[in-house]
Amino acid sequence: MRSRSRRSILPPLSDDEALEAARIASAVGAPVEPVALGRRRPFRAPHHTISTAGLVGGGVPPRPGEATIAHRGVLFLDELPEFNRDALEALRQPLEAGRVLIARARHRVELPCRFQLVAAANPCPCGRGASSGDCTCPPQAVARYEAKLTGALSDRLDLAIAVEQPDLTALADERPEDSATVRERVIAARERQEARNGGRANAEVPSESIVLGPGLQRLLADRGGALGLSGRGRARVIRVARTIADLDGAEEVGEEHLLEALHLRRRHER
Amino acid sequence: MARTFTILGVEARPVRVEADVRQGLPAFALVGLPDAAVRESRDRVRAAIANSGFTFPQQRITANLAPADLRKAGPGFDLALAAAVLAASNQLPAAALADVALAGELALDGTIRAVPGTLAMAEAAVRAELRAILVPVACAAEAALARGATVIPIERLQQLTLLGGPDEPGAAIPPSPNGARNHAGPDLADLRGQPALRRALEIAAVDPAAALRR
Repeated sequence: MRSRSRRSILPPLSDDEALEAARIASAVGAPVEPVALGRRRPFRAPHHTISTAGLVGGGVPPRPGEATIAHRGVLFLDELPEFNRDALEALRQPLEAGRVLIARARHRVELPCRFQLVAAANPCPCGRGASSGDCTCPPQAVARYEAKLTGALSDRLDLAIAVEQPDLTALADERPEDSATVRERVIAARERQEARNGGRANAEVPSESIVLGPGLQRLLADRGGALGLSGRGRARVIRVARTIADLDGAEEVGEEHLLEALHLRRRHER
Repeated sequence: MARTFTILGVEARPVRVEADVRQGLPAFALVGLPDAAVRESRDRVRAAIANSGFTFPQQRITANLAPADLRKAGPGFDLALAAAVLAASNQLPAAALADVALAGELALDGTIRAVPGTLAMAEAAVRAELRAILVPVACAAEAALARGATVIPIERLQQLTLLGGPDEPGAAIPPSPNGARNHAGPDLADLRGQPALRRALEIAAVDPAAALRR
């Protein structure tokens, strides 16, 4: 449910995006109206038993995978550590490039796949979490589970949140904003971002083009070092900070924006 | 000869269906790397032609799907194959097929069933400067999304005789976006007690290439 509510705050597809998504839906025999006319972004949540070809595309003749069907929308991988390792690793390059090149002896086919990856995982195989004290998982099982979450694919995930058990008494009184309100803020921030970047998203521009003051450079170097940030990780933190500043309506990236981006980058203790 | 397309990935590649009808023992050979579904197309085409008021030629028929080195998959070639056989046996004017593309699966009674990929095919028909593309009625709306395409919806095989004439079915009109743009489904207001998650979802929504883990 949480990941489905994700789509409702996304801005509707533009004309060109809708045509791209409709072309793909048409090719795989999926309903075209929701994307072409309803302008709803695709949302794909494949089961974790999916094969590599099912995820990124392949076969004879080559067919689009879930990553391509999620083009301009959201690809949601629930229970991420349960996915086949090869299938997950195959997502790395498409995530960067926004397309998959299927090259075989007989044909070369390029599939677009500019999607947003959303993934969910339990803290350990039993789901209770090693820190809860109730966890019954053998240490090797936990290690194997976590191994899937680290490394190259994980380095490409920009935002990580530990979802805690909510406080039930506070829940009843909470009246959070609805999707429409949040969507307005999102659309305003996207407009600021696209006006500055010439129609592109922050994640699509070189991180060098995002200006950080000297104080922030130092802050990023210090905290990044402590986090063990890779070069790619550093570039991604800068872009996320710029996005947070856009949500704030700020011209320049401020310290609080950078700190929040670093916080979201942090890999949580399990 | 009839023109159609095959879908490779999400792109449409042009395919020409040639048919040759000559004296000999009645036979129907299909060449040009057809897969099992395409090979079965012969039986559907035979029945659909006979059930649509045409005559299936009791002669030796050879059909070729060109280019011959491209693997052909799926039932989408049925309509073009039937049209090529009808033209080769002088039951349809070849000129009527010269500037159109056809895509559709045939039922045994001659009705035409939906096939995937008609939007990409209609776009490819525009690029190939064809006059029009004939698609199953059920696919007409999606194919008409292609900019600049003339999409003729076709319901039954008999309608091929109307092609190029005054009674040709009218072109499908591209559907317009329904302004509602409804975002039916769960609302973010129902996501309570998770301020950090709400915040991350909002940031991720602004930046479509940022990836999220929770």
